[in-house]
Amino acid sequence: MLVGLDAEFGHATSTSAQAIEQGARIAIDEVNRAGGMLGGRQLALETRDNRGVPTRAVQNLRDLAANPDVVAVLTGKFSPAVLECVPVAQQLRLPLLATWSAADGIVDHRQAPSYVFRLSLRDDWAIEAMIRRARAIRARRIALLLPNTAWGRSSLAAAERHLRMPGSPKLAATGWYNWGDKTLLAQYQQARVAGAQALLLVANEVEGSILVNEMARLPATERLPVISHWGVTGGRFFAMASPAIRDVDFAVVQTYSFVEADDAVAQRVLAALRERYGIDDPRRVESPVGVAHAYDMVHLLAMAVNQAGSTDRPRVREALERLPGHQGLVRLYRPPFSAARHEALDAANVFLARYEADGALVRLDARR
Amino acid sequence: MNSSEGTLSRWFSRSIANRLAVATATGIACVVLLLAALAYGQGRTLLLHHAHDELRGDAALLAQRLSLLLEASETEVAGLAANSLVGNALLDSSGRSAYLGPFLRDLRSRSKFAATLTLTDHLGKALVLNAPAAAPDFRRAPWLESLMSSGKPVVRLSGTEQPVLLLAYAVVVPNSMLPDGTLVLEVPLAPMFAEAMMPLRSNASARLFGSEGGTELASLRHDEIAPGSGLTVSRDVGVAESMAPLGLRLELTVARAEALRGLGTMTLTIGAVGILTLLLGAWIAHAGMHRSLRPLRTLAQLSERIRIEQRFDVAVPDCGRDEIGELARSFDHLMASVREAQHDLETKVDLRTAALEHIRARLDAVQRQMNDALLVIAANGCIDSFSGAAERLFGCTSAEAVGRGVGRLLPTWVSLVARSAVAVGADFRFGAR
Repeated sequence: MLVGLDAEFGHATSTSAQAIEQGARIAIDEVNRAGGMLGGRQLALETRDNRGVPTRAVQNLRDLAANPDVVAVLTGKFSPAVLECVPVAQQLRLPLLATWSAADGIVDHRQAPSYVFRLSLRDDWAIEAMIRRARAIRARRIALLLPNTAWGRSSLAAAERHLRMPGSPKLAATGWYNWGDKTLLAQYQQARVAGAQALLLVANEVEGSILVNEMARLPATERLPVISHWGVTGGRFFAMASPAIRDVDFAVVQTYSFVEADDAVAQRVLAALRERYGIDDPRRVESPVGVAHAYDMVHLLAMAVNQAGSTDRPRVREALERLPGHQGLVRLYRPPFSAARHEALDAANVFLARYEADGALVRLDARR
Repeated sequence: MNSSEGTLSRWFSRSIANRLAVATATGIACVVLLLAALAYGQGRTLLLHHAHDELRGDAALLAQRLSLLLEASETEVAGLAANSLVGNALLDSSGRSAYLGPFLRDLRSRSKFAATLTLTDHLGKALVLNAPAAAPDFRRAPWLESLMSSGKPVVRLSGTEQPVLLLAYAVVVPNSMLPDGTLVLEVPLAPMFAEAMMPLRSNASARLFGSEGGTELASLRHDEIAPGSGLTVSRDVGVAESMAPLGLRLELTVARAEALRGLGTMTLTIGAVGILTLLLGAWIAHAGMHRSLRPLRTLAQLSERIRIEQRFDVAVPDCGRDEIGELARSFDHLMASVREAQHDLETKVDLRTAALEHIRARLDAVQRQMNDALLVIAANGCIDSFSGAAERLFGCTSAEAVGRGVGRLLPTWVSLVARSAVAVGADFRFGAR
């Protein structure tokens, strides 16, 4: 029995696919050590590299779906790639398990029955948390810096919803960039000139590091606090933005951190990370949300297969909607999904983190 | 005809100057004809050389312009493929048509050649294109696999009726640094070729060939030129290394008649100059000879005047030291000799006249002294001399008698003499006056 993973392994600076793979393999090991599924069938991971490219993701999804042993497919970081896969998964009736991509449309596609399940963030929650952070630092005017993709548009829609709330900061400027742009300084300066007091950044590690490096070269008085979506944590952002990151007030959305996690599940996963990947310090876990989400998602899938008593994909899909409560790594799922709700997390799981000097992502409200 | 021939003959024989003018004109005409023939041959060669050079220059210019246009297309598509908007569109499935479509269509509207730009995924499926036509399908394109694996741009020619230059560039997604799509530019070659052709000097026909079997890709014909009746220049279109496999080659042809278009004018010019030279030469020869012969005419007039006036004391003017001058001096010497001979003759006449006067005076004295009447009768019967005794005898003066027929004075005697003459067979008649 196989679970597929189609993610951005070939992306040069990305660590998200590898983190998802780590979490998935640790969970698969645990499932297999516990006797496997359906009376002892072993679960294995089948990976594909989509490089974050939608058409490659679709091709990979079709390839994986062609294998009858594949019971479901985990997806990677890039929302546009996952969005492109949604109608294909629906057509192929293949459960699509999103573990990182945050675009609201991935789950809100309005096709029933939905084969898409997400154990991850929604842009809506991320933006809400970012605006909350802006209010916390008393920024009355904010600016948005968004990628010219479905992710950016999804984030803008969420921002517009939340900024309509009473007491919300005003939107001073909205800047757009293309993936692959070599500078974001013009958009940044435009936001600053427009009177923004904080910048809400929706970016991955490449563009995020470009912005931070450019900001660090500006006088300190011209550097706005940056509140970032979590895309940057899906890659080698800290290395790429260092040492400039020390000179910029940079907060980033997260849903999980191994730092200071002392529950049994976390200890088990950390032990597996140490044993399997040589990661001996929770502060050194790269892209921790990917590890955590994939770990929990694979366990939920195993539960669903067992509950369905079959690898038949539609039956597995139905079983996912009827799972019982489960204590996962990220949270206690009570239950994770339902017919009406295919999001395993909620806004309460979202928090803001910061990079410490060693690159560890630590909650802003962590104990000092 | 005969009249004109006669007139021409009279004109020809009337003067050495005329004959010399005709001879000179004939000589010049021969020279002019020879030169014209040489000039025609040389001019033809020069014109063909010139046409060849012009064709070569045009071919070089056309090749250069075409090369620039091709390289501009290549530069444009290469730049676009590296443009973050295009790379972004490859990653943005749901929204790319909204911004990349207008962007590409704007490029098309500004393009002179209605080039089609298509963004495809790594499988060759069209994602966005700038043309209203149906999306091209490159999924089975033979170049796709190599482009995706090597990332090396593809330059090809496609289409037969309307050949198209196809430039396919890999679109590399940021940070994977690997090709994940293609940007394909398809440029119709005919309008591009026409654009390159515009500034040509020669009225040449031009054709563009590709390396694949020497296929004709585009042609611009000002006129149809029969095989073998034109000048042709071939030239490779020098392009960047990436386009070298296209093996683009130009062929410019101009009709020989077109190349030799200036030959008629040149011939007319040479002919006109020849005729002018001929006329000028004939006139110079005629005028020169006319001037040279002027002393001769003077001598002729002198001779005529001498003949009419019977005067030999006319001086011959100086006629130079040439042959005619020598002739004039000889004439002058001749006239001097004539004058001397005349003088001698007149002296002799005077002497003879004086002698005769003397004889006559003695005869008159004899007649006057004679008592007998003496009549001297001339052969024609007229009285030539009538003495005093005769005056008295016949009763008329000598003045009255001299010149009159003797028959009037002596009719009986005359009859007697006439009969005697008849008897002896002599012709003797006396005048009746």
